[in-house]
Order: sequence, then structure tokens, then C-alpha cells
Amino acid sequence: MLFSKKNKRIWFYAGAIIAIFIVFYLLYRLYSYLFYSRATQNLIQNASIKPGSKTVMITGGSSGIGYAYSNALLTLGYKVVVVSKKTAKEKVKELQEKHPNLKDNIIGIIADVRNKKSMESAFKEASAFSPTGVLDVIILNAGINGEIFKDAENIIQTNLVGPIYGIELYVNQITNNLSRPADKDKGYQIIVTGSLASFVPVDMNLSPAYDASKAGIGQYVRGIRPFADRYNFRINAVCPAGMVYTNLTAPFIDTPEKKAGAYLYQNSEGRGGIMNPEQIVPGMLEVLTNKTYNGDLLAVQPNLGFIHRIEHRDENKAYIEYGKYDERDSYATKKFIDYAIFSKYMKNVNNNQN
Amino acid sequence: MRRNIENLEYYHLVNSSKTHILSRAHKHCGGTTTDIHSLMGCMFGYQKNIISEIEKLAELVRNNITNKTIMITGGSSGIGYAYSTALLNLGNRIVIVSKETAIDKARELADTYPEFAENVKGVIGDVRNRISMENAFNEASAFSPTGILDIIILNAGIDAPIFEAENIIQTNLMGVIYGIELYVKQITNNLTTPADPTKDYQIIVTGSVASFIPVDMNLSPGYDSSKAGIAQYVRGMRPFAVRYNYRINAVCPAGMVRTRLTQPFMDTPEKLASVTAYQNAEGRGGIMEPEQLVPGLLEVLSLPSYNGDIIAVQPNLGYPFRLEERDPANSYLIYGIYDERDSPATKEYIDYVINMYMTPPSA
Repeated sequence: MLFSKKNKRIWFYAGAIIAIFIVFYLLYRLYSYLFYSRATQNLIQNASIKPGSKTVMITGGSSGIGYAYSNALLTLGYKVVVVSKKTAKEKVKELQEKHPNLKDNIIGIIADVRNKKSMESAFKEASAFSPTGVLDVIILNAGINGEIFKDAENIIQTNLVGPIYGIELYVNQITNNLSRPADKDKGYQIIVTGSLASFVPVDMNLSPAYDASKAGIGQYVRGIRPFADRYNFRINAVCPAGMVYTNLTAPFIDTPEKKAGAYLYQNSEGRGGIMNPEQIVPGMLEVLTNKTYNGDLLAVQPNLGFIHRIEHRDENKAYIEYGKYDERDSYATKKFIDYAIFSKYMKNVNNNQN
Repeated sequence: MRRNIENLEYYHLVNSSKTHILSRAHKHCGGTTTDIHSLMGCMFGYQKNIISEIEKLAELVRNNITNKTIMITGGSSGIGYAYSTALLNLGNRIVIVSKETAIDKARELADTYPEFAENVKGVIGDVRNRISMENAFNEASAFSPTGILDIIILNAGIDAPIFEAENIIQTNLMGVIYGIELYVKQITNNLTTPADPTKDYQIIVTGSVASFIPVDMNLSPGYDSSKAGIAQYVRGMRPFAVRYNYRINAVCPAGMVRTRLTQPFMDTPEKLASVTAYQNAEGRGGIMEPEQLVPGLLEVLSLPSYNGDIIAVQPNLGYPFRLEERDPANSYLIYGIYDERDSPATKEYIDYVINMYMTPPSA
């Protein structure tokens, strides 16, 4: 019945429709290939600077995501200061060998971000590496993971208080202890490495303190935005939205079975699979070059094709949908903050915004 | 999954009535002097079926939240003091832990409610200090007839200007984590056995609006960070809580509460006027009194379905509101709104890992 002469025509039409779909699909793939490669080229073009004109400090820059950042920014023309607890010098040597023509543009500093004094001296040393004496970008990326009931204190100190030390030092430097706004033309900025845990607890990690530290630093970034707006610097968190092959996730994949388990888990239910540290770089470059990002959390998961950002709120409503919106755009909030900042911190600065 | 306007309003209606009746029931059975009627704003009205539902809830509170030993950090002022008063009046044994005035405030409560004078105790302890916290915790446990606390409420918290973040994080985040760790270790025998399922052991943490969104007008990113951190800790601990038979939740006042913490915002008449205007603008619901948070607390304490939740309480706007559960088919499409909790792969993975922590009860 189905293949009778009568149905021949129907089969022909069905075949034609399928063929058209296939052609459209191939065209779509071709288009997206061209489009995405052009987007990447644009990103690199925008991020490239005159060699040696800007200096960036990267904590935890000796491995994982930080190392990928160091490598990328070095090749884009930045002077790079790698700060890490143990292997900063070795890794810098490795990068110098990789890029012999850029070997004067990178130094390594041994420091422990958990320790305020150590962080302070590293920060000073890093600032001295900049031709202007002030760092243009700091990337606070050092972080650890750990076990429940064992490492909470260490995790919070490293992932949350450590970056806060860095932010405080830097903001105090560029704003002269909050007494005046920073130089607007310089485009000073801070980039923090968040995590999926900045948005939702990573249940499979089973480390609530890690979740707390990353959500905490995410909220710090969002919370400091009123200052960032008024003091002319930018601060954002780049959050790898999934598992990345780094030292931090190594315990999840240190045996073949564990690796298989983690791989299966990360590829199920729309998680997009495990990422390479290099895959986070475009997200960081996007934040670095796009001036509209400020006080934003960016979820980066290139396998799923997104860079996601917390939405701005309706300016007439305060907090209807928790977690989704910021208070930033509310008129009353703006007024309240302007008053507080200009009366308390920037006493001698003219408030041009009113 | 998507709530439209109608059922959003219905939700508020249900919840505002619920909290209202709850507080009435609480007053009726406990006999507190606090006039909660006058504190309740934003009433939409009653419906018969809602009322019966609410009566059930009130019954639950009356039957379950009584004869328990409860430790409350920061219980000597503000929200903690309101909690202590309410829970004492429901017939519980209360241990107030605070840095300075715990003993005075415990005596004050004993004098105000002489029929419960035996049931309240004050312990001096500094939550920022692990050892001090441990001592206070041991002393509090000794006040319980079973030697184990039934509920701990970790409520002590501070606020400070920008760049004093370290102290805030130590108090609001680490201090709470110390308490949680001590308690969970006690009830689960260092994570080797699940806690007694008949007891309904619970941890309540005091969150804030900052657990959800940064409170921009506060201008203290360290505070935002600490409160968001502790909320994420609560959500992140849920896999353990479910498998070890205890509950952990964060009750988050979704707005400004008149306490010592918010005092710097209203210490002069002009400041008070400006902050009142701000809090009443743009749908914020106005400044709350500490007593208004009690019904939200009682709801969380008495309903076993709350676990690993962060609950926004703002009676003037009619919530308790709770983070939604996630669509089981999608893992994390909408950040910040859903939990990973419901995904089958996550469950399987966690079961496997936690089994390694637990020695089977027979072994």
C-alpha cells in the first residue's frame, strides 16, 4: 500500500522537503562558521593593544584559567604580572620560552592571596612593573576547592577574602582612598573569576563553602557597582558555567573511572561538557573590551554558546524577582547612593551627575 | 513553571493570610504580648479553603514547635530577640548566645515571662571566634535534656562600611559556618551516620535581601557578599541535609528591619525620613519590625518541605517567597532562580559520593 503507484508522488514531495531542509541546515552551518570566526577575529582585534602600553596582574596565573589568561594577554600586547603561591617564576619562564620576543613583558611574583601583607607587597611589586606605576587591569583569579567540614575557612579566605584584599588595594590606589574618582580615560578595571556556584550551588561538588565563596564574590562584584560607576572603574566577574580542566577540578578526574563519571555527568542534561581553560579566554576578552559591562556576572560556557549576564531591572519596581535583577536602575536607589557617596567619601568633588 | 500575574497575586494572598493566621494562632496558644495584628500589613482577605489550610499549619506549629531546646545566636537584640520571645512563649527552652548582653537579656525575658523563667538561659560567646563558638555551643547543648539541641538559629550579624569587609565576612559567614559544622557533626556523629529522622533537627540562618540581590543603598559589598555567601552555603548543603535527616534553611528579611544593624541609617530625624521614604518607594514595602519576621520563621520551622531553601520574608508585601525548584529535564538554564537539586544525574552522583562518607548503620 505504502509504496503503491498512487503514493509515489507523496514520497517525491517528502524527499524534496527533506532535501530542502538539509540544504538550509548546511547553509546555516556555513553561515555560523563564518559569523563566529569573524566574531572571534573582531574580539582579538579589539583586545589587541600597542605592545607594552598596558599592564595586567593575574593572581593564580600560573595554572588553569589564569595561565590561559596570561598566555592570551601576553600575546595581545599586555605586560603581564603572574602572581601565585608557588610556581609563578617557573611558569613565567615557560611563557618566556614560548614567546621569546615578548620575554621582557612578563614577570612572576610569589605571593599568597590569603595573606593581606603578602598580597600587599605583591601588589606593590606588580604596580612597579607598570610604566605608569599603576596597574591597568587586575584579574583576581586565584581560587581553591575543598571538602565539607575540613576546608571551609581556607576556601573562604582564598576565594572570597583574598580577592577582596586585591579589590580594596587597587580601588584605594586608583581613587586615592576613595577621595576622588579615577581617571576616566584609563579604563581601569577589575576582573574576578567566579564560577557556576556564583549562580547556583554546584551540588555535585558537595562543598557548600565553595558555593558560598563564589556566590559571595559574585555578590560583592554586583554590590560594589554603585562605587564603580561613580569612581570610574569597572569590575566584573567571569564565571565559567561548568567544569573546566584545571588543578581545582583534578580531584574529580584523577582516576579513569572518576574521569568517565565526571565526563558523563557533565555531558548530560544540557551541561555542555567539560571545558578547556582556553575556552574561557573569549569571555574574559569580551568583558575586557566591552565597556558596557560593569558590576556584571558573566556565565561563560562556549560549548553551549552563551555569555549570560544578569539583567537590568525595571526602574519602577524594586525587587520583584529575586536573583534575576539588580537594584541598580531604580531611581530612588540612584538618588540615595549619589547622596551617600558624595557626602561621605567624595566630599571635595563636584557632583556633576545632579 | 512561569507564574503569570493572577497566580502571583494568588500566591501572595495565600501567603499573607497564612502568616497572618499563623501569627494569630501563635498568639492564641503562646500568649505573647506582641500585637501582631497591628503589625500585619497588606491583607487581601480570607477564603474558606485557605483558612482551613492555615489552621492546619497553626496546628503544626502548636504541636511541633514546643518542648524543644533552641540556641539563638545574636538573640539579645533585634530579630534574634523577637525570635527568642516568640519561641519561649510557644513552650521551648531557649539559649541566647551573644557577645555582650546575653545574660542580661535572658534575665529580662525570665522576668517578663515568669512562668517560663526556667526555660531561658544566656551564654556569652563571640561567633567570630571558633573556640568561643565551640564553648558556647557545648554550654547550650548541656541546657538540653537530651544533651543535643533540637534547633539552632544562627542569626548574629553585623554591617559596616565598604572596605571593612573582613570583619563582616568573619561574623556573617564564617561565624555561621562554625555553628553549622559544630551542630551537623554532633547530630550525624561526624557524618558517619544519618541523624535521627524522628527528631526533625533544624538549622535556621538569618539571610537578607542581600542574599538575593545586592542592597545598593547599603553601599557595603562586603555585607552583600557575606549574606549571598551564607545563602548559597544553605542551598549547597541541601544534598547533605536530605541524606543526613536534618533541615537547613535561610530566613531572609526582604527589606529593612528596625534593628541595631540598621540603626546607622536612621540615627538622625532627617536620615530616618529619607530612609523611610526610600523604603516605601518603588514597591519595597516599608521598614519592618523584628516581630514581623516571626510568622515566616514559624512557617519554615513547622513545614518539613522546606529544606535547603532561602525564604524571603516581607509581610508588608505578603510573601514568604521561596526559590523555585528546577525543571528536571534542564540543568542550569536560568541562573540564580533554579536549583540543581532535581536533576536525576545530580542525585545519582551525590548518592554515590555521600555513601562513601556514611558507614552503613548495620556495620
